[in-house]
Amino acid sequence: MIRSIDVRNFRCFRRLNVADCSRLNVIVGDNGAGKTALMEAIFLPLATSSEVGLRMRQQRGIDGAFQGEANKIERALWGSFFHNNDMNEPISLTLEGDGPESRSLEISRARSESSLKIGEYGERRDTGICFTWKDSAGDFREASPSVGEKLTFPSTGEIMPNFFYYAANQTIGSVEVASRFSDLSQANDHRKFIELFSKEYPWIKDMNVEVYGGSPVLFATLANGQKQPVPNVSSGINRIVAFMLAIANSTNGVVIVDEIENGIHYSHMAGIWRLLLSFARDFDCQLFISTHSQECLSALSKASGKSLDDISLWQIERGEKESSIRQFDGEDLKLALDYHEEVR
Amino acid sequence: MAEDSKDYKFSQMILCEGPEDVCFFSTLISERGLPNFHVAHTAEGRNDAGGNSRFGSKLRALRVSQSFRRNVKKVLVVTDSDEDQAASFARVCAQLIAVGLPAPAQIGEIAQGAPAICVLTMPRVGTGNLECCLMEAASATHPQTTAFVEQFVNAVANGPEWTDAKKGKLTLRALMAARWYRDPGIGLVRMFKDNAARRIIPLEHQSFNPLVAFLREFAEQP
Repeated sequence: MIRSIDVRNFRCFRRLNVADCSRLNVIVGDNGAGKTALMEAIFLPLATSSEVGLRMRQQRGIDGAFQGEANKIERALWGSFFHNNDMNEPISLTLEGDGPESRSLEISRARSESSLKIGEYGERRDTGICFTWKDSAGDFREASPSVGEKLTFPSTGEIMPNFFYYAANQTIGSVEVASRFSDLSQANDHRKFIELFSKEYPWIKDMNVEVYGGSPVLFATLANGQKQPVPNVSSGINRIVAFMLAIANSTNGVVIVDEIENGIHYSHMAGIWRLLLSFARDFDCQLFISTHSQECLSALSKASGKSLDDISLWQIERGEKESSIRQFDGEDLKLALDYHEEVR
Repeated sequence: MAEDSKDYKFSQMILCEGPEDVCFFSTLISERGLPNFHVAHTAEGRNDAGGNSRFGSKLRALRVSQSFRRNVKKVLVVTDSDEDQAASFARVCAQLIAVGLPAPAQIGEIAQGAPAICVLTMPRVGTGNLECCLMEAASATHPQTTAFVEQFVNAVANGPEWTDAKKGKLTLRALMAARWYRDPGIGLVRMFKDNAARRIIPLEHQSFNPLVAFLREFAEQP
């Protein structure tokens, strides 16, 4: 469980410290306030490859052919990671927690463009950006992306399976979902999963993995006896199944979901929250979830009942120079929602 | 003007016990040309009666609102004096302290903080409630009806269970019913919202002048 987060010089945050993280942390704020940036700041230290920079860029919908000078590619790839695009100040992201999630990441670059190195393989050049991870044991591991005929994003070689980040517009692959369900099935936990899921969607009677067009796909057995690939049943349900499976496969891990409400009918939100809370508690998984939806938050208030101790609300506020955060406990959140106050 | 949007943009708020108080203050602010206040009550949006035990939870909820934190600098908490003004004041202060807000030392005093808090009891002196405060204007406007209503109240509400606050409510409700033949069941909320019925209790009456002066002074405080 992550207990605190320290962010320096990352995107809209010059300096941000978040203490007292809960089991379920609900993140709200205006467009551009920094919700996604904060989620990235949580996920990046948990990653092990410098490729995550590229992934974050793609998740924000930025394409690029990455041609030209190394320093321009470097700026296009990572410039926006740095507060005020100032790549001379290193980024520092630190998570303090109870286990392997206690990690930090520093992203820094060489002080000047002239220090970009020409590598021994002809056109291959280091970009000057260095990712340095520190693990929970205090060991440091570096990875520096390089520019050549193709971009290379080395990894630290660590295996960090228990941390998942779902971007707001992310398409979730059917093989990934099938694979997680298979893991759950092998651990003999899939029946519990189906039982809990069917409570919310009673017309889904069963789930299993089938080979479909040569690839494993999670199928749902519907009330009429038909079997259909879950993504064909509903993209929203596919998304929820993916989140649940990620949680079920993340014992002592962390699942981050940007804009949970995407694709989900409002009438299911309370049930989805109940499932999320139930899974997170059962599988000892920590959740960081953002939303723009008051309906979604009201549903959480209904779903949580009196169990508010492990829930907190993080409001991100955009300031003139940088964003800041304000934390509220579950009781504050519930009261505000009960009184129909605007909490987003 | 007063308004009750959840987007708080004015720098001051009146927080009272129930919807009747909100209608009274909103109408008073409008009719007397007072500065802008948000006017809210402790039962808003909830399936309960609100009342004087909910100030703390309402203020706790308000602090989650970004627009409240950003814009509302002063809150005037208005509670009924009921049978013991000091006890009513103390009950509100205890709730303020419990949620980490400043509690004023005396009624009408402003305790600085974010937001600054002032507590006012209705009536300002003695026992009673909003209805008691409204009676002076109502009886001055309808002396004959008031005389009959008082006879009625004295006849039916003479036991020890009939406190001053309860008698005040009975008197005002009976007077309103007597004065509004179109619907004798009219309550304070509908009365203040109805331009014609509102004349039962004219808010330009001098008995409201001290309260108007207090609100104006409160609004002018930095």
